[in-house]
Amino acid sequence: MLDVDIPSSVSTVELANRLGRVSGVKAVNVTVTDTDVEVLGLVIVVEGDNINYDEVRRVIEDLGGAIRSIDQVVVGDYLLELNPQLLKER
Amino acid sequence: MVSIDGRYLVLGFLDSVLTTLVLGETTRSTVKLVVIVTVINLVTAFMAEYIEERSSLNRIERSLLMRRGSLLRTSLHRKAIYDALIKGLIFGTVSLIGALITDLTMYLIKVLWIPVIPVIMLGVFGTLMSRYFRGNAILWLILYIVLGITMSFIGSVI
Repeated sequence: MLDVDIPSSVSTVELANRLGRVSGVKAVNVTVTDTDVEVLGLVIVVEGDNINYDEVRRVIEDLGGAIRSIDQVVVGDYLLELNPQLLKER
Repeated sequence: MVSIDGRYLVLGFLDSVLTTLVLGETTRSTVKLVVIVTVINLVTAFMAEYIEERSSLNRIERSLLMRRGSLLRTSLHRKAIYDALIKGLIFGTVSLIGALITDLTMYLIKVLWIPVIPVIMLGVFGTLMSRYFRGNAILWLILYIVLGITMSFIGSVI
């Protein structure tokens, strides 16, 4: 799960399509969370096996985007879900 | 795909007619004149478009809190160059047509030093130009006719 800013002139459809072609990626979700005149704030969820993160970063940067933070990474034989209660208790 | 604004076509035509009216009297060779006007307009249009695109990229860099020049290695910059090139080529092609028509018609009908056909074309295209910003059509018709007369006068005295 990535927190990304991209220029508003960039198509989110093109971004999602290009991310979908990255090796290891099985599913992509691009959600606009913030809009400005020049910039769109996005949350991008990328799922798959052995995702090539460098390629994901290159795709985003090639479209003029900037990765602000990596908010969630899940690695392992099965998907380890985060209990929201744990976040609230912190 | 580059979206071509109709005003580029009209502006390219107006620009080339005016330049040809100034240079037409001094440059007798049609080919030489048309090449000069086309190349100048093509390069000018490309540079104007590219500078516009670059300033847009600079604004985006500031908004994204990026270092200056960060977007120069991205597909956004490549697209900006491509767009400016296409618009420059279109502007150049329209200029070529405008310069050619002007040079071929400027000696056909003359009243004093005024080449009538190119000046009428300027008036028509000036009126079209006013549509792009909802200006006063008659005012722009008169403006471009006066510009045409002035430019042809400058061309005849230099």
